Amino acid sequence: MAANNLHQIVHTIRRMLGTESITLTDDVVWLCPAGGLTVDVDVFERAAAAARSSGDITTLQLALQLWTGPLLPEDQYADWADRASGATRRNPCRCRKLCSAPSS
Amino acid sequence: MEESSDIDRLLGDQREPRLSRSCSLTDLPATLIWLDRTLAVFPIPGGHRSLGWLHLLRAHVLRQLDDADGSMISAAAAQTVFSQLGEQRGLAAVQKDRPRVDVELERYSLRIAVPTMRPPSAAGVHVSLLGGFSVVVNGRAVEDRWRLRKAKMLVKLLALAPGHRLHRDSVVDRL
Repeated sequence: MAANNLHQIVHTIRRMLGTESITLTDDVVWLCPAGGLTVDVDVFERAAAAARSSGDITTLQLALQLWTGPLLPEDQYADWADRASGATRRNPCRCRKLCSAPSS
Repeated sequence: MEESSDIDRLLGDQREPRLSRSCSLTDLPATLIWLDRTLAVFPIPGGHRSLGWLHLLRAHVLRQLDDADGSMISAAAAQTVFSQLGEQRGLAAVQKDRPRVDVELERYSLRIAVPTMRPPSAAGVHVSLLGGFSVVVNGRAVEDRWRLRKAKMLVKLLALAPGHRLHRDSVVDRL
């Protein structure tokens, strides 16, 4: 992909999501560099990690409530989506298993 | 704060009727019975029952998690219990303590809201990837009319990237 194509893509995102939603500075592309970004996967991952380390049924159930479906079902065969999604796809199964195990 | 140190002392007391580990905070009747029983034994100075409930919930959840991320779970649990309290006990009674409760939420950094519980007017960019892609900016859903398919793809890629940033070469390779 040509360099000016990337600038065009970044421009499109700014128009869709706001002027401060993305930057391309010093060869780094950054989504919401000033903060204010929430990604449901991050929230779920944090909750799942906390729940798994505690093993507590309440926190596991609360973490599972944050799982609203598989990661990007429309892109499941895309190479670029594959790399980041492994852990996210495994986590709900782990939480469900822990939920069904007897609590200590 | 005098009240919170009192509560912390009470929570360290072995006589405190602890919520059992297996009891779920989502089991509201059981939670309310436990809260009422605890507050009957250890009345909250000044009679701020909602504040007392908040302290007890926080202490209960954080004690189990022993983890900074516990604040997120306890925020979710506290919000659920508070909204149910509003319905069951009359909103006015709960609202009376609301400013004090907000101060406490701030103090314990419990403001890490769960996306599904966020009011629709919440500021910022919210990207959903679980169950499908959608973006909400300052409370408004962004229409799925991306002029460039790769622009949509780049948002997904960055949302999944550590720190939500990538080197341009890495982006060019993947798109």
